[in-house]
Amino acid sequence: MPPDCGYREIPHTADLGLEVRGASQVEFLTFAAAGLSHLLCCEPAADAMLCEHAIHLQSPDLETLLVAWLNELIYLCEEHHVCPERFDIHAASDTELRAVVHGICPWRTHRVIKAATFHNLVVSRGVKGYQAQITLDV
Amino acid sequence: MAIQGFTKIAPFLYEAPRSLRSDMRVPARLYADDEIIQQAASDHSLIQLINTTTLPGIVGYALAMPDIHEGYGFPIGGVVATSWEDGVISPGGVGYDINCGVRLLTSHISTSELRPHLDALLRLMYQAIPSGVGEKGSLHLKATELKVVLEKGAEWALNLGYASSDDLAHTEDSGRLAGADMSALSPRALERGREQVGTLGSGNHFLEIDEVTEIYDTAAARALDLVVGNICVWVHSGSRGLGHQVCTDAVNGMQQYIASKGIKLPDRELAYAPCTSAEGRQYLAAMNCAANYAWANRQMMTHLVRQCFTQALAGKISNHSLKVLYDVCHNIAKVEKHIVNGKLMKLCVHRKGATRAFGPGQPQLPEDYRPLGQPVLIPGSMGTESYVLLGTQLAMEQTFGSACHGAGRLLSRTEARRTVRGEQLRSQLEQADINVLTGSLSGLAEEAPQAYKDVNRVVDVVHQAGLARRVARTRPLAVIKG
Repeated sequence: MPPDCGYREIPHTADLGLEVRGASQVEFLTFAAAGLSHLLCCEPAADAMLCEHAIHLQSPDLETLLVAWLNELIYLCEEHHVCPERFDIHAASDTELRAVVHGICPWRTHRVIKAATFHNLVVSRGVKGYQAQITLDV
Repeated sequence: MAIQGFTKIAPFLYEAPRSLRSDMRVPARLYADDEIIQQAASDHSLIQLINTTTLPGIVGYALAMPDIHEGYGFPIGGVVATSWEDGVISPGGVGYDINCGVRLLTSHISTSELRPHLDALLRLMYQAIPSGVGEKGSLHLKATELKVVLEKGAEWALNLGYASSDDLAHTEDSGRLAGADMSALSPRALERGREQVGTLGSGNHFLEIDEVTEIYDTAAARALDLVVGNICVWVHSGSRGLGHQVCTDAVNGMQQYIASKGIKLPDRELAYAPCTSAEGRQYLAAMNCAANYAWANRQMMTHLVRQCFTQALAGKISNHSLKVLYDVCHNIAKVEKHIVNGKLMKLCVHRKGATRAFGPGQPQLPEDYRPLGQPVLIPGSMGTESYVLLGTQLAMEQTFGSACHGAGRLLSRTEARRTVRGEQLRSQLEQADINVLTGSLSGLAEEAPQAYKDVNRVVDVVHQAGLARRVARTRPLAVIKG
């Protein structure tokens, strides 16, 4: 995991924990996606090609938006074999996200992540921006 | 001395009183020995157990089994029963892998007979049963076929010749929960279910060829067809992407219910809705579909394993048939009737990493097992023993007929990866005469035996507490890890 990349893996007995921070909602959600991508451990297949997917999400609060965003990426990864690599977030607020996910397809991965959960999830906001710890079910 | 508010009230039972926290509706109980409760106190397991006591309509106690470890919302190893009439159902009390479960197949093949063919058999099984993330199976179900899978479960396999009626008779709920309604599923859940019947998945899922090594109850073992020296096959899998999506959809839906009622939860993953509400009923209809999907999946894998046995052993071993001993689910919410405070009550029993362990005489058991009690299948970690037990009357009285589901994790995945190297682990297992096939060595490391509690100790607690009694032990010869 690169230093100061905006995310770090934190221990969890059964599942995976990810701590994310970002100066803005855009940065926070970008780092969360990058952290998930890191944990997915994707490896491009020999015939892998570039691909992109547009995503638009609306949620009642930032915690729900974060969970929905990560679950969208997990879905793309498992069902469409997209390994998400780069995230262009065009608009982000507490309740809405518009993004284009760039990745490679197909890939093989060493790890299943079933879902992002709401377990003890609180996005804290301070002078340095946004921070949260999220549990991923594996 | 109390440990996070829990004190010992019986040799293998700890209790936290209702007075421990103002929002508790019932006391919490953990079946454990002194070492296991200390392990549970080292992460958030006990706090998670206390949190489940706050669910509306909970009856008796919030319970946890000795394989307890930290989950999300509920602890793994948790059992919570709520009143059907005025209680709630929580998708977090079931988990994302709905009806993740275990099936055990027995044989009359001795280990010495199988040994010369074991490598070839394992490779055939590895090729026939796709494992890994998002892997698709050979079946591509049309919407009409998927509807049958979702609403009829293992019966779908019976109708297509992938199962026998004896298989279904020895599957919990005969491999089909009533009240499954495909219209309760999102299009995305249906999309994720089309091509994964007959696939193992990844994470802690596995296929294992074992040898029966010890019998504790001769009469029961004879009735279950378990003979020392004979081989058996363990299958551990669930409802795959479809189940994950059903839970994701339901947790989201119930967040909205909680917000609309202004309810404050100790953990948002405990989101719930009343069992009898539209939200509750919709989740139950969808969860039942996912449960049925998982049974169809394990049945299809059984069919594929049998085909591999035939391909590898026909003409070499005369009787290479495999019989389903039993199939249990350990992530589920079931509508069941139990006696609570002397009164028969209709309940919603959540088992999150816990196995139903009904005692003798229960009408839900297959006729041949009714005098014995329900088989409780407890796989150990890869490289260690697994157990077959039988449910007891005491479990009916104390735990809504429930017992543990496995060894339970001890180390985080981060710690397991830090301390175990996949390649080295595979060599160690091979030195112990255990063949391993896996697509991921780092995944293998995360599932290393040292990442889990001692299954012998966990089973000993369940046995000594009287929740299930030991019948037999098996040890692995070959493992396929998802």
